[in-house]
Amino acid sequence: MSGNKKVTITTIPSDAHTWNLVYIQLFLEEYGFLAQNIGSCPPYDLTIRKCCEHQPDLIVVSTVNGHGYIEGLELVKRIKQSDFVNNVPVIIGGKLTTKGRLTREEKENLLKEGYSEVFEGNSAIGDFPEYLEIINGVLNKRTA
Amino acid sequence: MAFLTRELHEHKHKNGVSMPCQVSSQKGTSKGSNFFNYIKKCKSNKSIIVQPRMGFTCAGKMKAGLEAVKKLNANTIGTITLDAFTRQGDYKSSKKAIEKNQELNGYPIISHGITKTKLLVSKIQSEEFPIQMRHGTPLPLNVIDVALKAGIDATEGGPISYCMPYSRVPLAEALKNWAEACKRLAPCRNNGEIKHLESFAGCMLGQLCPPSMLIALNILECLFFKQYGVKSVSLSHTQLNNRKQDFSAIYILRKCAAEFLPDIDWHVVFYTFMGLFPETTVGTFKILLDSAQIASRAKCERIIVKAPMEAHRIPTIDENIAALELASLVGNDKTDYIHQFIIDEEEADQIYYEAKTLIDSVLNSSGNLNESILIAFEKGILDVPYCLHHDNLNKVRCSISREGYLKWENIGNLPFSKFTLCNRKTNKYLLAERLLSMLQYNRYKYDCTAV
Repeated sequence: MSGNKKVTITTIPSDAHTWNLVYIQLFLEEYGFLAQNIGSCPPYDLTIRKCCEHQPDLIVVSTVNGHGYIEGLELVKRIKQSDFVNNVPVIIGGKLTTKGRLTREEKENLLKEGYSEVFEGNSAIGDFPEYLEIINGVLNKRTA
Repeated sequence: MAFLTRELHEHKHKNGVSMPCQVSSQKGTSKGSNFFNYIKKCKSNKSIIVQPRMGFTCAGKMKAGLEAVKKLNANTIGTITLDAFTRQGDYKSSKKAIEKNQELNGYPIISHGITKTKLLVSKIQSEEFPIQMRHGTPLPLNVIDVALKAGIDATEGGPISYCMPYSRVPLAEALKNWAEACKRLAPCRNNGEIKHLESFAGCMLGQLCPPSMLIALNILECLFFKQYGVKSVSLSHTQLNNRKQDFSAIYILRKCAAEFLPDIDWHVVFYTFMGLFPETTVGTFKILLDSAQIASRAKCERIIVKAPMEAHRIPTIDENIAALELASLVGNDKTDYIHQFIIDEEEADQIYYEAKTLIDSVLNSSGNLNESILIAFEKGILDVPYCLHHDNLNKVRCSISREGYLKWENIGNLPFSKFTLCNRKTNKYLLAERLLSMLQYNRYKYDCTAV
């Protein structure tokens, strides 16, 4: 299929969970993305290197271990410093803190550091297609 | 099939629901550690031990948590769960987080160090209250060294179960590191104490792994521990989606343990469901109650309890305590005659056939267990569904049958000649939704029937 958008799915270095990554991959593939799934616990450098290789149109950071705020900041900082992928939109979602929800200030910090969007809580996955539609215009057509 | 069923009956009769064999002490120099002795004691009292998955960043709070568990009017074991930075060997980040007063998802044992941890442990640990370190580390040598020096004599994990689902470490490297760690846990001339190591293989990815694979991996990890001198192990099983399949699986886990580990001490530890947890208050309590009932009817010696809030965040000490209390009440309720231990014999036969085939195929593939494990994963003789680790073939798939049993849907290269595949009608364009519905099976089951 030509013209497919490419996505890199990654997580933060300390996060060992993978169900979220497996699910997000299937989800994005259904929306026509060519997905690269980096898997659990990727060091920052590995995410950057894989992104440079794959040249994605979108980078998705999915994390549920509660360290998403701490390490998500560092990860996006490094992505934005990279000459090869600094223009790619980066989004983060999942359980981003050990306390349940981010504070408003924490969410703002994530956005300020470079995330295009932060997805949290029960409505997150429902909001996701809408976001994909917005950034990709026509991507809300199933490949069926 | 009839023969196998009869054999199962005989096994049941002979061993009750099987008691571990005694460990022969080495020339009289071996003595049990706190953990080892406590398990033995509770087993003879026929009471189930409840244990949390508790871990806090600050040593003071960790101490308060352990003390609260100790004070409970129940048979309890204390837990020190490590944080994710320490698990990944990133000690700098955990140190930085302590300095910045950031809350981690566990106790950073390396950053706190031996002296501080020893002080913490020595004040609380006793013959009546052993402590286990839970860590999730694919390369555990450092944390096990520190734990042992700090006086903790029990831990858990395994070269497969803490590598494949949770890390990017090559399996070969994990096997080497775990081998060294196991040697530290073996009784030696200077220290004859029998320390304990639990295999976490019953919880591969928390959910959606058929029981025969969980059992085979448990046995293989325990054989691995044994070959480096570990004398006391536990085998784990996590709550699946159907009580009868749980009973059948635990029954076969014990049968395999009796068969493959006749010369070391072993017991079974049960885990409250480790996958996507229910979200309603009643749903979370119901799944917890079910898990305690299953564990106690299946005569599991220990249960690792999940606190209802764990679906949303790290539970507080009080929430942990409430969950433990409830699990202990239900688990030790001798007046409950309604919830009986009933296995599905046909299912048990199939689980036994599959588990035994997997174990034998691995053991027969080379004379060296570590090599055999590597070959097995390479060839897909061992294959964990949906596991993204690069040493896992990830060719097999499973699904949940109509009655709620986890069944193979695609056996990939698994060496089975006798199996029935579970094929649910699926729309190939809705794979994500289907996966999500399987992941949420227990959430729906307990939340929707909660009222």
